[in-house]
Amino acid sequence: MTPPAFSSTRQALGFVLLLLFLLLLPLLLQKPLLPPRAEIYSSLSWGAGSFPWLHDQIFEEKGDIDIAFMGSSRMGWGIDTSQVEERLSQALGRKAVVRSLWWNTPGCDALYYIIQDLLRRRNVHCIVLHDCTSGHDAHPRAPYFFRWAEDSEELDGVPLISKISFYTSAVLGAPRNLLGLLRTNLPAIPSPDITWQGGSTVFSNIPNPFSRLGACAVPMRIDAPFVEYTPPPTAHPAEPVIYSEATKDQFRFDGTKFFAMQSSFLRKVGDLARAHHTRLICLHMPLVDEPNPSVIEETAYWPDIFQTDVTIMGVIPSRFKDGMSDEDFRKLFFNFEHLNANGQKYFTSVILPGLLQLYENQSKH
Amino acid sequence: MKIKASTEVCIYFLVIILSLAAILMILCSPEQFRDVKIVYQIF
Repeated sequence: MTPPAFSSTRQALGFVLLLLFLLLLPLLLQKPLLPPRAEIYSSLSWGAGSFPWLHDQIFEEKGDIDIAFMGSSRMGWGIDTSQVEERLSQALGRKAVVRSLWWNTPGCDALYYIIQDLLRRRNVHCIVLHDCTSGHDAHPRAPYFFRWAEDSEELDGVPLISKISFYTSAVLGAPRNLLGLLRTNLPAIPSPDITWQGGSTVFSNIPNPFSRLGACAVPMRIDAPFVEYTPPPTAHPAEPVIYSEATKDQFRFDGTKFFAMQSSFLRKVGDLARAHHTRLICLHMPLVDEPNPSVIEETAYWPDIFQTDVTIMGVIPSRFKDGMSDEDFRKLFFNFEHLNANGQKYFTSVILPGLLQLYENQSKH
Repeated sequence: MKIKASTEVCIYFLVIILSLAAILMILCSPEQFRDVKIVYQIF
């Protein structure tokens, strides 16, 4: 016979009180009881994304940022930030400030809360982001960055199922916030390399993003040993395409329906960008296999979703792959969607002219 | 102190309601929240 769940009614009462306390903790932890937001970032390790670097950039470093590349790991792994900073400095005739700020797993809620934390503290002239839409539930890191007393007002317009997911995140994150009241987190250890485990893959001895302006250059392939590779020059080098009336035939928006939660947070990102006079550029990040290699295919026409001006830019997939065999092209990628150290260097060199043109035009206005 | 029968029913009712609420919350959340290792890391 199965023993009863509780040996006495008093024990059941104790269980009720414990559950009530845990489930109501996000409501009990009012703003004065929450540790500073800097503690959120210092409590997350490299395994969750570039959080030690985000902490440094949002809460420690001061001054304007010219261009911030923001989004999920596809952005952090795909852009050689130093290359952009160097070329932009030459173009502007002054030291430019370019940073990559990224985290693991897509989700527009993470994008919104991290951009909000950044723009509250630093003036950012231009944010380059990519399609990091996801499902209807909160980001896996929401227990850290979402705190009910501070952030629940931002859930206006978000469906109930998503709100429940955010409340659950707040429940899971509450004990750590309580702990944050008792002691502060230790700073990140400065080291030339970082190592973390992602699923069954161990990423070892990856150059520390602190030394690369936030970029994560991964010298690895998931399907084969990594070899350094630079695509050969071609007669018609790949070039970036900026969406306009003249180039619209080179783009396709597949019109996939977004989860309401994702579009709600993208609208909020648009509001933030407008309020802070920050230009938004949506960059098409390459994949190993694009569904339609002759056009730049994006999920949506982004200005409609952000409800503000967003410049869309990308490289036509067939042009990006031009002159390379399938096997050579794979040498640019870690997996089907993440560029590795080879791809980061090459993709950045291809999009740079378009990026510089957009930034210089912006500076003139 | 003896707990009244009606209070006892109320307590067990709360046990069920709160447990169901917790299960619902987890079901509406990212899959990672069902992974004990990840939840432990959050704590």
